[in-house]
Amino acid sequence: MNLSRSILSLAILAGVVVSFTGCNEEEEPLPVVATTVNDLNADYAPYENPLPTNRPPLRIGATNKFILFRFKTGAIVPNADSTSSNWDIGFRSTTIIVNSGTSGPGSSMAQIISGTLDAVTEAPMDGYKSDNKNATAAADKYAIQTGSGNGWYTYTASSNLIVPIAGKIIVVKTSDNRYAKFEILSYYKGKPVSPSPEPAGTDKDRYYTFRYVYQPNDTNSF
Amino acid sequence: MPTTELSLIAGGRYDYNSVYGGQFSPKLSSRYELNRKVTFKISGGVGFKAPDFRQVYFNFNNSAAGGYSVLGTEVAVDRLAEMDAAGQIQSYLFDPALLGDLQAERSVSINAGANVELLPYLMMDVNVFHNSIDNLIETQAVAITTAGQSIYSYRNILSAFTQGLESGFSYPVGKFLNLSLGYQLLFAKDKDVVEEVKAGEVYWRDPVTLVTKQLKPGEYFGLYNRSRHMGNFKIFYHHKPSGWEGSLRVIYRGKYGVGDIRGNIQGEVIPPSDTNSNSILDKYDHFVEGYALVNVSVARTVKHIRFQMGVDNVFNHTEPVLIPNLPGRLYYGSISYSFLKKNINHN
Repeated sequence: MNLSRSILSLAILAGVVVSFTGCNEEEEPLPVVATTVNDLNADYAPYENPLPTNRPPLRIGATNKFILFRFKTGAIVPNADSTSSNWDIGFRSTTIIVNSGTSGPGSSMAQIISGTLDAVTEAPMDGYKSDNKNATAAADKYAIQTGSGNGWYTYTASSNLIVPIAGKIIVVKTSDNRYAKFEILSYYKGKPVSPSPEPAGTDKDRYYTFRYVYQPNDTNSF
Repeated sequence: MPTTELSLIAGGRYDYNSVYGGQFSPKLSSRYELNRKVTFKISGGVGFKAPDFRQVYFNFNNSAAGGYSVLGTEVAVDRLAEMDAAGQIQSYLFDPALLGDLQAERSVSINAGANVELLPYLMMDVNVFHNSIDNLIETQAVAITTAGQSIYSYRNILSAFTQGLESGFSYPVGKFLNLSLGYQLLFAKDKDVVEEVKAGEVYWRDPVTLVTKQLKPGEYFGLYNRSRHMGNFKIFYHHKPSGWEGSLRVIYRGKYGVGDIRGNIQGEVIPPSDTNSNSILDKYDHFVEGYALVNVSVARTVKHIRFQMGVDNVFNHTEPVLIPNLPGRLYYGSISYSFLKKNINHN
């Protein structure tokens, strides 16, 4: 009785294994789709009120933590997992980090190339960088360089406006050893057509809207 | 009247600046009188402009209304380092290492044109021009202080050009009336941007749909604050026997872009023209609309005394945010006395 039951379950198990391998052998590639993430909150905090006149205003209640994102799941990874390789990129204010080097234990790396998201049909094989906060040259501190006109945005001081530069596609080689590409479309909540940022205006900054494509299969073409 | 049909004038000047070097700038111009009605002109030359005192040595701080500083390129690096060490710099907008090495502007220009009497007394003056300017000196925002003040300095636009056409027509009607019409077509561009666009490296993003597209050659408009089309139309009436004069002037300025570094004026944030995320002015951007100003005046001269009154900007065109210095309709009157009996030359 017992023996026959074990044999039966073994048979079922074998069936399952067979069906799994069968699926793998057919090599049906996972679908590649473009997804837009709207208003990802990268540590928005209101300005202090009233505004000081002799120093930059504080942001009240800022956590100073990065919002971590994983392309494979298309979801935010809890900050508690920051020391894992479960995330690919992190956002905080205008800084974007990759999970490698001085930013994390993973192996995700990035580079910026010019194009439209659709026109980037192949991820480059090399040229990816890790974060290295301790580098002497500003250009080497982050894979996605910070500063106006250096990376993904320009900054206009007089209007306190951050504008994502059109045609800057960030290509990521993820911790899962896959490729992803994304373009930042807006830095303000609700993607206003003509943002008028706080504190002078009313638009809330540090809200990323971006469009990305993740290639779940083992290829560098999208 | 010159008796020879062809005349040629050659000239030149030598500039020497102990810092910015020197240049011999030759100029050559010639006229060719085809007949009594048609004269051709052509000229070419080289120009040199060393940075002026302000651009090099200014250490100027305007503390009023938000405030800003202007640092000449020679003092900027040290002054910024001092301020940075004192914790006064919030962020840099431009790499200070790229300052401190302002170069003299050098230009090459060519003009060609003609004076033609189209009909009896109807004169036309046309001129096409091209100026190629290396190291065009432009203002550059460099840093923000912790007090939120902007610090400006200067930089060179490596290479730019301006080219276009100027034309003027004038036609006297009867003894007392003169009509004139002027028009200018202008293309002013940064050559490096032209090359980047040609190489397909410049994109624009529709601010509404957020769709990004490649900018095509020809869609780059050019430098800020320069209109593609400008024109004017003037009617002057001068009745010498009675001393009455009158004028009507229409001045047109075609659409143009406002720069990317703007401030707050009268509590309103001035929107930059670049609305599609590429920091250059292209055809999809938001322009200051073209506009025409109409000015009229009448005057009468009796002996030595001239009475004048007029209205500028008759249709009260204003653009409070984008052109805050354009006043609305303006009435004026004047009485002047001249000691010399000579005709007063006025516009």
